[in-house]
This record gives sequence, structure tokens and C-alpha cells, in this order.
Amino acid sequence: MNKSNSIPILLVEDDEDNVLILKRALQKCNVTNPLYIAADGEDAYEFLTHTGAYENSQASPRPGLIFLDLNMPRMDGRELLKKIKSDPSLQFIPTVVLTTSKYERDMQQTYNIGANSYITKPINFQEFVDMIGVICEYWLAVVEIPMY
Amino acid sequence: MEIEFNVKNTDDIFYGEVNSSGMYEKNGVTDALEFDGTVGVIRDISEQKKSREELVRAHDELEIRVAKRTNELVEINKTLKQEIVERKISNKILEEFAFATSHNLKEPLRSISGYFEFLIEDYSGQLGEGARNYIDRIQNRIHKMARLIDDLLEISQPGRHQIKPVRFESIEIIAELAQSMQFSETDSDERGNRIFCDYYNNRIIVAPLPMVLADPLQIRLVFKNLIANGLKFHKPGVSSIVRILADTSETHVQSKIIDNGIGIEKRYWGNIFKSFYQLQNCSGSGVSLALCNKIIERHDGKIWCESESNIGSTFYFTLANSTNDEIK
Repeated sequence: MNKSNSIPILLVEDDEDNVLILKRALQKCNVTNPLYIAADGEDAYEFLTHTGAYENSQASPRPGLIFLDLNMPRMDGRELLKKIKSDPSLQFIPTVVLTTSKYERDMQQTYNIGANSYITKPINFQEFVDMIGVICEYWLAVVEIPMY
Repeated sequence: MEIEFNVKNTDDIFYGEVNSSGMYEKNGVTDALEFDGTVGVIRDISEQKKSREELVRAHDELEIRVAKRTNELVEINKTLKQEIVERKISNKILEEFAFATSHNLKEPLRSISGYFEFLIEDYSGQLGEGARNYIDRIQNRIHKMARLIDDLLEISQPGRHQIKPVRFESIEIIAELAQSMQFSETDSDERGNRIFCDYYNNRIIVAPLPMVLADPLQIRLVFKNLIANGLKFHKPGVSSIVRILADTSETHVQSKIIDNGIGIEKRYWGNIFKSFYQLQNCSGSGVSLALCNKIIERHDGKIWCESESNIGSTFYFTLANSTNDEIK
């Protein structure tokens, strides 16, 4: 992943524990890409569109991969996903939904609005590490994605 | 001709039937027939008349009573339908609540599990054997709880109310399930039974099965849980044999899953289909049979069991025959 380790990753997650666990999982599978964290959908949308607190575009680079939680305050993951996938300048950013349960309605709904992957996070940490490794390898090193 | 007569000196009325006929005589001169008089017979028919009237009255009364009872039944039916609707709504609310709660429980459980792993990774040098042992036990319980929550999520998942019935062959589902449970198809006999066998010589024997009309994803869960159940509660030192057969009637297919396990005492036959009911401490969560019950109920079918201690159990469930178009 040499060429790709400068591609920023955006994690949209309101739960601090989940942030910590994902950070550690990324570390464990040697993903050293810069990680940005948005606390909810609204925060993430401002980050992506360089508005609000993120007017300085240096501080909010375009991510090459978004990890998205579904249930968040203010603007939830579904709403943010809709906004990303209907914005021509953002639509190609791979967006991976991370959730704890295999809820079929959520799965269908998020794929319908354009999620690139729907991942059920396992309880076992090592399994989670393996999963994150595969996702990062695929979206950051294997596939090619148009910028706009 | 009926005439009412009042018998003299009494208040009684009696009904009579009058038959009369004219009498004629030949005129000796003209040879023509001449009227000579009338002969009449009056017969008392009061009794017949009375019983006929009673019959009519009884008939009318019966009609009124039938109409009244029909109305009552219509009312009861209406109330029952209303109750069913209300119960369905409250069940749905309860299930949504169970789903949301279990969903919310899983997230912190995952964090707890993660932190224990970090504890071992980061501080294993400082932890004694006793502490490691406790952490292992905690991790075991966490995984058990996670399975329980997964089962809860499965049973209460909204949207499961909508069944998508299609016609399908149960054997295809069972063959795929057997494979996923590490059974391989070894043989079939002269009666068309297909035999699946695992490493420990446990067997699943499937008779030719008719087509059914049901939601295949949900029925797969029923077969999965019933087969796993049949394999799990085996007698010590005895290989499990699970047989699957079906009887067909005009409207329904009744499937039978027969095992040679330890059996279930009669007093528990009804309880085992309740959520979280367990007959013994085992790795399950007590949800799998409740889930089967729910799925079969949603298909307007029935599920029940019969069993004999130390001989084995038979689980039955009914589904619409594939020729039956009336399923909702």
C-alpha cells in the first residue's frame, strides 16, 4: 500500500469507543493513511464541502475512503450518504457503511442510496482487524476511482 | 272448502272440512236430469289445523332465533377481527422495541470485548494467570451474549412480517443446509430417500418432499433450527439420525422432523416454543424454536411436537400446498 498511504480516510462516527477501536484496527493492519474524524453527518458534510468549520480546504482534504456509521445525532448516515451520492463532486468517493447488526432493511436502503459496501462489524476484534485490512487494501490500493 | 263453525251452546270453535255434491234424478217424461238436492259431509279438522298453525309458529320463532344468533356471531366475528388487528399492531410494536433494544445492546458489548482484547495486548505482562483466566471467562460470556442478541435481532427483525411466498422444493434448501453443517450426501435408497452424513456418522435422511408455497428464506431458518435441534440433543454415545418426511393433503403439506434423541417430557411440549425457554443448560439461547413458531404462524401454519423420553422427538409443521393459491 505504498503509493496509496497518503490518501486520506474519513471516519464519520459519533461513538468515541468505535473511533478508538477503528483507529487501533487500522494501526494493526498497517494502514497509516491520515485519518479524519467527523462526529456526525452534518460535521462530515461540512468537511466534504469545505463549509462551516472547514472553510480552510487544507484542513479538510478530499478523502479517498469514507467509513460511515448509520445512527448518529443531527444528520444520520443515511442522509449523509444521500447527499454524497447525489453530489457530482463527491459521488465517486467510496463509502463503506459500518454497522453492528445485519438489519436487512438498513442494508437494502443503504445500497439503494448508493453505499459501496455494507459491513457488519464482528464482536471479535481480530476479525474486525482482518475485515478493515481487506476493505482498505481494496478501496485504497486495488481499485481505480475517477476524481469527479 | 274450509268453514268455521260455532258449535251451539259452547264457545268452542271447530274447523271443519266440507265435501258436498249435488244429486240429480232423471225426469220420467223428458228424460232430462233434474236437480234433486245436496249431500254434504262435514269433517272436524280442528286438530290438524292447530298443529299446522303450531308448526308455522315454531318455524317463525326458529327463523327469528337463527337471525338473532347470526347477528350475534357477526358481532363476535367483528370483535375478534378487531382484536387480531390490535394484537398484530401491539406485537409489531413489541418486536420493534426488542429490535431497537438489542441493536443498541450490541454496540457497547462490542466495545467491552474490544477493550478486553486491548487489555490483554497492552498489559499482558502485568496480568497474572488468575486475571487472564477471568478475562477469558468474561470474553466467553460476551460471545454468548452476542449470540443471544443476534438471535433476538433475528426474531424481532422488522419486515420479517412480510412473507414472500413462492413455490419451491424443500429438498434444495435442506441439501444446502446439510452441506453448510458439514454433512455430505452419501447415498440414496430405493425409496428415493437422500442420505447426508457427517464425520461423526450423524445422519440426515430426507424422504421425497412435495413442493410448498412459502417464503424460502424463512422456511430455511425453520429447517435449520429443527435439524440442528434434532442433532444436538442426542443420547450419549449414540449418533444422531434426523429424518425428514412430509404428508400432503389437498390444502397443506405437513412436514415431520424426527430425531432419535433424548426426547422431551410431555409437560414441556408447549413451552419449548416460547422465547428463551430452555430445558437444559446448553449453548443455545432458547430462541430457535420460538423463531420457528413465529415463522410458521406468519405462514398461517401450525407447529407442534410429540416426543418420548429416550426414544426421540418428532416436530411437525404445516405449510400451504403449492397448488393452494389462497395464501396471503
